[in-house]
Amino acid sequence: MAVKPLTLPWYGVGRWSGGWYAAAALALALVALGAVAYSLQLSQGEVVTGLRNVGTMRGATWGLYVAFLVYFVGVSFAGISTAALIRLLDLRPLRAVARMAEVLTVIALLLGALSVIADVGRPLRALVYLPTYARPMSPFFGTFTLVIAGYLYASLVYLYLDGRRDAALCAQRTSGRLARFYRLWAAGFRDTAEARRRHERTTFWLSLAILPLLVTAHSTLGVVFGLQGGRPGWHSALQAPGFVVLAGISGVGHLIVLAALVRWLLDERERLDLTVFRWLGNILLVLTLVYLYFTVVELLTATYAADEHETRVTMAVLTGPYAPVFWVSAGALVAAVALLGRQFLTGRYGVGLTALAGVLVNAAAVGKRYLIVVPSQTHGTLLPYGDGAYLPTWVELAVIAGLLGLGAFLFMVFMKVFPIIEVPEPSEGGR
Amino acid sequence: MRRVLTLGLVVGGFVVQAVSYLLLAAPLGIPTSEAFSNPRVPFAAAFFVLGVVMVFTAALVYELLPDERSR
Repeated sequence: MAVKPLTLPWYGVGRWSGGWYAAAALALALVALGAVAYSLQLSQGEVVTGLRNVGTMRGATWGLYVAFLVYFVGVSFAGISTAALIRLLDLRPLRAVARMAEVLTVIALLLGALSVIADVGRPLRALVYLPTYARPMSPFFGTFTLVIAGYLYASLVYLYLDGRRDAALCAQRTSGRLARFYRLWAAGFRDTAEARRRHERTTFWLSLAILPLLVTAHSTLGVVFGLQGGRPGWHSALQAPGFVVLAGISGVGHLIVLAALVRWLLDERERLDLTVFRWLGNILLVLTLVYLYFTVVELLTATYAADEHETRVTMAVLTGPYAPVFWVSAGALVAAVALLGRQFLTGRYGVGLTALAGVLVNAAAVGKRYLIVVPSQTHGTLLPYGDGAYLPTWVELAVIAGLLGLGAFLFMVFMKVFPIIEVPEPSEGGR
Repeated sequence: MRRVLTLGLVVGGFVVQAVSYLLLAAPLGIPTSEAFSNPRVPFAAAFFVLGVVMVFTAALVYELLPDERSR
């Protein structure tokens, strides 16, 4: 596709380099691996996974897929909440990451939906039965349909409306096949004072509507676990707030890593300057400290005078088979706090260290999601069964790798067809 | 017209959510059979999602539809 020379920042749109093709090929190879593994699971059944019945088969019916569903939905949190807060609180320093935050949300929710599909044995039946027989008051409905359908739709509307101005700019300056796509997105947008006022009003109300939906969505996901009275390890009032905070951690961490990558790839130090990373790093620091506090409170409650079953799950996590995952995750969170706290106290911020903290908290978030989902099933049964075990097979690992590859590929493609950073107003130093 | 349509979608969306939640799905009365596990009307959940979608579609209508004055 031919792109005319531009006077506005274009942020790499239309520049297809060898490095991009190599990265895209790697991502697509992961997608192909995931597709092969999933076709094996579809044809042979979930026996090819490590998932087994709780109790009688001493296994776990929810494993890596559900852990990653929770992780992906958590990642989506930061995207749209950052974008909404930027609008509501007029956080101008973070405007450069608003678009990537919106795209991150949409992609993460798509991956979350695919994780659900991967988890159910009969995906087509689930797709028909969920809307037919689910009840809106069920937390399962809230998670698997409302979160993914309503929240995804709201995020797409937000991304679409927020991108119209840039789409109109792109349509004016592009020829070739993409021009039609830009015109369609712009939908007759004219950059007038009235159009801007209307857009400001729309995004303000959209942001206001999305934020409660977002907190509800993430709390609902926690409630799926927290409401199960017969499942030691899950039954806790802290599940919902814990889910919201951990969602914020993984999402903001992901956003930091993406912003650092975009800054490096596009050499965009002007818009993605240290102020952006200072803001995001400080938000991440506060969220991580809150989550560490929740973790300590939860462990104190579970180890001080808890009943036998609760203690068994906690010991499995602290000193039993899940201890390596727990201590590595806790260590990664503490290391991230140390990195971010040092920057906060000294006032010296670095992109690399903040991005490293983002990677650490995401590794910790994956581990924590795994620990939330699995141990209660293998060690938390109230029935007289012995302790169980769950280890994901290569099929599950390959499907998850495929999903991660798909997410990376979608983000890379978006970066090449649309400005990943909002094109600045002329008054903001547009080149 | 644009404002009326926008407001209609927001109010209509919330009404659809309330009706599908309370009238089509909520288990009213004392559960006496397995049927209480299902919504009273099939697709109540889909209607609820439709209500959510209607509310957010209002944003599209508000921003995309031209004003009568500007035509």
